[in-house]
Amino acid sequence: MGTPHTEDASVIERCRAGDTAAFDQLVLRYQDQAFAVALRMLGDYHEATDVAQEAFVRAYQGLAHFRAEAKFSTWLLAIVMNLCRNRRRWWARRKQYVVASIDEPVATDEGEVTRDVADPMAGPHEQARIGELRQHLRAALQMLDEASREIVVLRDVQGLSYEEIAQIVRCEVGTVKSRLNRARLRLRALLDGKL
Amino acid sequence: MNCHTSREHFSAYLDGVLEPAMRLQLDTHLQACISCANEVATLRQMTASLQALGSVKAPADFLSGVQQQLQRQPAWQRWFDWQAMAMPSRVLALGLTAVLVACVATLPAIFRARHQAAPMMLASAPALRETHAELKKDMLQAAPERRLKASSGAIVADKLEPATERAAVPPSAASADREEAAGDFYRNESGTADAPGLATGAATPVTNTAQVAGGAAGSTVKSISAVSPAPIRMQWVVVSQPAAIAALQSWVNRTSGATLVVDGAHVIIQVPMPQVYDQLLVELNAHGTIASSKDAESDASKEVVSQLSDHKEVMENTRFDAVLLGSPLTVELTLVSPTQ
Repeated sequence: MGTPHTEDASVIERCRAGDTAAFDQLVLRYQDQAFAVALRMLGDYHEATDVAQEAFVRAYQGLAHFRAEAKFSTWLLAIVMNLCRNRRRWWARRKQYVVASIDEPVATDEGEVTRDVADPMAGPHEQARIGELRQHLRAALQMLDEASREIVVLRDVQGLSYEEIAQIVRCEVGTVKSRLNRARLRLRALLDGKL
Repeated sequence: MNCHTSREHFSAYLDGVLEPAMRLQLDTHLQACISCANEVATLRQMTASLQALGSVKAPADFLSGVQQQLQRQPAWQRWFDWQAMAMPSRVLALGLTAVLVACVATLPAIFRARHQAAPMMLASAPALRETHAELKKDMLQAAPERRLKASSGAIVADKLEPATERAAVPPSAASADREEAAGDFYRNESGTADAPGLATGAATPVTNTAQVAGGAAGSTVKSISAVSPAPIRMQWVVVSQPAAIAALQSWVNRTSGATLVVDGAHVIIQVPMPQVYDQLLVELNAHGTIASSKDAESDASKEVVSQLSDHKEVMENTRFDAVLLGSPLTVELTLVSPTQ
């Protein structure tokens, strides 16, 4: 059993050799991460699904350019981020803004559920408090400037290393550190009194 | 260390990446300053809470959506999809391509040898080229979305031009066919006509058409490079040129990957696509004005505004390429004083 990186490399090799079904493995492996990043960047469930799916299509089309020394997930997230930027600019040009559709409850066969995974160990009051806090966090994330949101989503929501973030947003590790500090302080200011 | 300087290190402190000496100083400050200690505690709680936002699942039909989009590529493109081709097919494709290229290259010579009328046809090549140039000009004057497709089509035509001329085939026809093919691909790629990706630039028609034109992996890189945005020329109205250049130089020094060359009243800046371009515009607006509104009435200024607008469109549509290829962007500034 190899590391995820080496496993990805072998799957990518199979894709390049003509095994198109192998790409499904990559999609299944990284769909949650790509979707989560798109959702936190855009704040809209359907737009995030659209962008994350498009990112996989772009990745498939660009597989020939993918360098084996890089991690597939890092490369994929860079594509997701670019598509998210494009999508937000498109909204801005057409004066479209996502205001309150952030993770709204979804109607299912079993009634309305929220899209986030609830903490099963928390009691009803605690769950309500956590739910409210998450709502504040989601709203505050959307109010951040784009560069700050990117850094916070990649570091604090996704838990990526400074080096991976530097590759995704294409800047130096030192810049990631300083931007992250600024971004966290801005987010903290937006959440004043709600934490 | 005071409260102001300590705030600069909160983030690194929380992540445990602060240098030991600095950490010791900050620890000392936090023990003495309740306000900063509370701030660090709140930030710690905030980052811990943010982790929970990452635990979301993609929709159940996510994979089938991706598969559908991949299937939506035209059949001919899937057939030529280099990555998906097995080795024997690649060898066969290479051989066929070589034979085709050889045939196309030798046809004019054979034609000239057998028919004396050939020189007349060859003589018409400049006229055809002129028609082609007119066609390109017309295409570039079309609507922005159309222009994106047209420009990529024109690039394809440029690449084909020598071969098509030798074969005495009107290049305009070739380019028109190519453009149509690219347009079809774009429409198929983007899904339904009212989907946001169609007119938005969320999809990248330039990339896609370039890939279509490139076909094989090797030539795709060249095609995409060829659609890198042309230098942007703009007027920068500043009160003091030396001060403005000094401020710009300072910004370039602070910006990774950016370069600056000063040539009299002209400044040429190269910035790595695409994130830094927005910062450059902010910097230029901070120390002067880009193409002032009163000049916007003149044709020259309109052209500048148009170029800027076009470039924004192209830039947004080539961000994906920038990840893959890292194409830089050149901005040529002409410094003018407010009285001019």
